[in-house]
Amino acid sequence: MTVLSVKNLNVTLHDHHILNDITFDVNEGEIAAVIGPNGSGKTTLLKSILGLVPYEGTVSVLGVSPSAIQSIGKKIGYVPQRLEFDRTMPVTVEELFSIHSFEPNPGHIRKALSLAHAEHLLSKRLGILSGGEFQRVLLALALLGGPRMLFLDEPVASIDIEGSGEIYSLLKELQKNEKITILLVSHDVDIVYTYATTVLCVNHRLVCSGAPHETLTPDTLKMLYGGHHALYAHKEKSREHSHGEKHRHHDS
Amino acid sequence: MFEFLELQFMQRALIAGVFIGSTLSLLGVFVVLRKSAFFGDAVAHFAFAGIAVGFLLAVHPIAAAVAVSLALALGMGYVQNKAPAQSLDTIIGIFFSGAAALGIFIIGLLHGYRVDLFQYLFGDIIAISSSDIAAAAIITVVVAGILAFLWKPLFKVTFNREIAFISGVRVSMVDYMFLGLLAVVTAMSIKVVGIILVPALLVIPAASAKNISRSFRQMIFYSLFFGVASVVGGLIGSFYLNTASGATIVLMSIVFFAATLIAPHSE
Repeated sequence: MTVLSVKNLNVTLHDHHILNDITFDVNEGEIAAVIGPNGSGKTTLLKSILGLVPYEGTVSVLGVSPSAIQSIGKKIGYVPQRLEFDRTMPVTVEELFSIHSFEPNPGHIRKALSLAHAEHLLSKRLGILSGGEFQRVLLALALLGGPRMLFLDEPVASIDIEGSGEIYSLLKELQKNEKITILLVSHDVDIVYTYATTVLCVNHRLVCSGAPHETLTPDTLKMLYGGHHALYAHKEKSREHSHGEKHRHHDS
Repeated sequence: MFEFLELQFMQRALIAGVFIGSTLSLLGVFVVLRKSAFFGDAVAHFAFAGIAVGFLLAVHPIAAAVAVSLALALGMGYVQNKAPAQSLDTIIGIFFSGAAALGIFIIGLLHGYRVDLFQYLFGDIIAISSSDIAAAAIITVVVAGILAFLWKPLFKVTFNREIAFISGVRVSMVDYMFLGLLAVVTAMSIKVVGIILVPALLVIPAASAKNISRSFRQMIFYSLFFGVASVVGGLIGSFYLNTASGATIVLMSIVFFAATLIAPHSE
């Protein structure tokens, strides 16, 4: 079942064409990863789907257009890229969740935190959390309404390799156990290779799409990033994972 | 020891001051968290332009200040949305200077009539009437009532505008309502602390509270405490020292701010 449908999407901001004629579908239960070079329009694609930037074309998220996204706010979870947050703001995780809560029952706050393995952070002040802890809290916040779809923009941009692996394992768990469909933006082809079920290669237009192991070939990566590019085994990760298919994309 | 309480003008000043102090310090929590202290200065200058308009049109200066402040604050919000190329502080700066210039320009037009601006610039507690107390009480109840519904969306927008939007908050409407509330409260507070000093009472109690708070709940409580204590302490101080009430109130709030800076507080 298609939960996200994008047809002939065009985005122009300040007379600059950011996205041209993007068309794709995402089916229920998928982890779809948007990859592409810096400035290729990945974040803009996500924001246009969520109704945060104006666009032309046809977009349907869980059956509604982005202009009506607020009507299904509870079914949508969103983790923005590098959330600008004043760390001196005196707010506890509990307060943040109570304020954003869709219902008075505190049980669902604990459930959301538990799904993100962050229940121990409930009484902590946001300002003292590490980058990884803060990202888990944001993920839990996105899970608060019991969403059917999660949108994440570079969810591990500010955390180390180990922490980012944990976040992606968590997303895999959510997809598998909670049947949540996930659309994420990532710059890390290795991660996409490991965790995504579908990849969308964007460089102002849709360069390629499909299952990662079929789509992420040297030719498509060359088309996407330009120049000479290849996939190299990521030794550290290859030791961690037994199936040995982990790769990291390298610019050269 | 409490002879000041026997004086009716002090009684009126204290009652009005407690209302104004609590309202400003409550709104100030969001002003400080939204990093819009400069906006408080701008709104105070809108009120200055409004008072000048009031004298020009021969209407009640505070009523004119409320109307003009509200119109300019909402206008500023509109321009901010329509001119994304300009940063917020640039737009505030334009409106700030424009309002000050408009006020001075209008006063210049009042030929042969010298307005006693001092009481509006620095506050005049002796001039507080029973109707001023009633107005302060009404505005406090109205602001508290609106914030009871608005505080959660306002907090969400303060935390992250995009997450707030997707969760169903009408972000622009929340911004406009906050601007409107600030404009009205600032204009209504002029008689107690004056145009120059209203922004200080809007910012300093909340900033002091932020220094020592570990949660949002604590910040609200401490800000209210520092706001009311600054007004009461400042009024009593001004009575005994025979100094300007507004200036003494603000100096008192700065004493609290300094105390919170050096007070021991744990993570």
